Amino acid sequence: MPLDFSQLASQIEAYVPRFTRDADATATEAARLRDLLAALGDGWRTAPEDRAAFMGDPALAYPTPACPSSYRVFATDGSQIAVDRHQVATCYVINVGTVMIQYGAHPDAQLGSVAHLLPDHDVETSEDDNGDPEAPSPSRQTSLELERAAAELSTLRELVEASPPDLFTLALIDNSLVLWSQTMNAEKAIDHEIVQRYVADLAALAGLARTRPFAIAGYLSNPSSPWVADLLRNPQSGNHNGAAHPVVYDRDVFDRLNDGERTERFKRNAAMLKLADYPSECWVDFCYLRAGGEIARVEIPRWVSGDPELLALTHAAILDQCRRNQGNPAYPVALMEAHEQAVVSDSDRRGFWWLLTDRLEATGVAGNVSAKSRTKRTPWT
Amino acid sequence: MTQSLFLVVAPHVGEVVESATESLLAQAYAIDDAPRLGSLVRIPFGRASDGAAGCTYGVVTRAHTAPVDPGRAPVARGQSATSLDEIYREHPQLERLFRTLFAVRVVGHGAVDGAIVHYLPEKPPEVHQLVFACDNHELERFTERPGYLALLLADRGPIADEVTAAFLREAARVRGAAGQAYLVQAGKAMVSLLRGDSVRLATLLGRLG
Repeated sequence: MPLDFSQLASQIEAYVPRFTRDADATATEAARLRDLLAALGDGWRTAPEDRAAFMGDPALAYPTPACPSSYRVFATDGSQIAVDRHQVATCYVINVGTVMIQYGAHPDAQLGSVAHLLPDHDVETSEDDNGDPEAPSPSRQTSLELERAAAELSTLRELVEASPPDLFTLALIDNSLVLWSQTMNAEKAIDHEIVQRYVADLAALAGLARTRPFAIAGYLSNPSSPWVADLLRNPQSGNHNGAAHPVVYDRDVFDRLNDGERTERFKRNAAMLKLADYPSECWVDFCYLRAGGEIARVEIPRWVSGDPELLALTHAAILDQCRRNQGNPAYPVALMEAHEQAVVSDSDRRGFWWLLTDRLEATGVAGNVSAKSRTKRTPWT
Repeated sequence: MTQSLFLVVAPHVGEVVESATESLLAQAYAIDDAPRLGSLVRIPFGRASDGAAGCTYGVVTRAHTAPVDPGRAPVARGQSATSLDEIYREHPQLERLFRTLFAVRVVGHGAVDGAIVHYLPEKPPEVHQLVFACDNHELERFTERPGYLALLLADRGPIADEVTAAFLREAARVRGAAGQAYLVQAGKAMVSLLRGDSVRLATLLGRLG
């Protein structure tokens, strides 16, 4: 039977008062934090650091700088065909959508995708013999997400490296620039092979920026980071993580920004970034900016955030990207197209498993598609 | 050394993406860049494009441009623009998000020995086969005899007749001063083929001028 909406409708009704209550509490707390922000004055200079740190007066707002008439933007975004133990082999596919758009005297665009077939890490790295092998695996999911993020960045690096150094070039991803899952211990994560590849690519991009006008940014739509909110509470209560407060995200605190404005920069203090062997050129700062109806978080490496000209170009180009996406929500058009290029449809997914099964069977490899999977292909009535 | 029977001089204008015995669908290499309505195209058989394995001849009957991804509806982009060129300069990715397809009615084929015949080939062209525009000389050669009209007139309706008329006008144009005589000859052939459908015949003849 399909989903029975009549069952859900009554449950939704029961939830509405709770949602309303939460929204009211959030609005009240966000207003309180905005008052704290307004009253902070020079207090940001001596405020204790937390998961983020002030880098300037957080009450300042910076208007949109002028955007160059000619520039180039690269973006990548990934999707995947996850491991399916019902299929003939445990492996997965990451598909990275790629976009290059060039504006100005010689407008051009290149859209494409790069697919990677990868072995299942979870099989090789399983540490717990007592676990149920059929149970959902957080480590497998984490590996897939890390691998996808690393593939997005390495593809971005290849695209930028292959491009001429003539125009200001902005590279965009829709992730944080800190590749670190909340489920991973920072000390272990830094030694993770995927994380090391990611950091090497980020460092290589920093090197590229020394030879050409180039910046990279992570653009996070509807961010759920509460780091500045926590910073604002900290000087008063020493209280961390808003545990005793209604949930307020930084986007709620900064929702008075005018269209195109960005906040001052903040330093990210993710545990991994503080490790001694984390390269300093990969340190990450962030700010919030309003693009249309939304407050987005923009993450930038220190070499971008510390260069006023590069920072202004990045700010301007991101907003220009959002502006060009007219008819759609304000979101960088290059990222939107990268997502569209990356999408793996159900039909693609079926096609991939069919191709793999067919190939393995043809070579005599004893693949075994589960009975459950076979019944899904031919659901008899 | 064997000389090519169907000399390839012009670059190809598209590529077959759907193929059937009587018609095919081809994709142009740039949006809005389909061959003209009613123009003659040639699709080689086999892996080589030199025509040594013969070719299919067809007439372009329709072209349309639509999003590559049918799930993504286009939105208007030009409210603050002053020209189409400005819209494409502002949104260079648009050229990659649309594709132009054109339909081709098969009206004959070139045999391996180089002869042109006005009946269907044994097999449809291969998918991804390249589509070439025929030059004046090839069009003149293909239309020496009016046998192609039977296949062209098999399609009915006002749009099909527009295609036939456009094809005949072009066949006349490439003959220069002899063009009018050619139209008279084609008209006589149509009188025979459209016997009993004088209204259609009159409409078609009216479009040849």
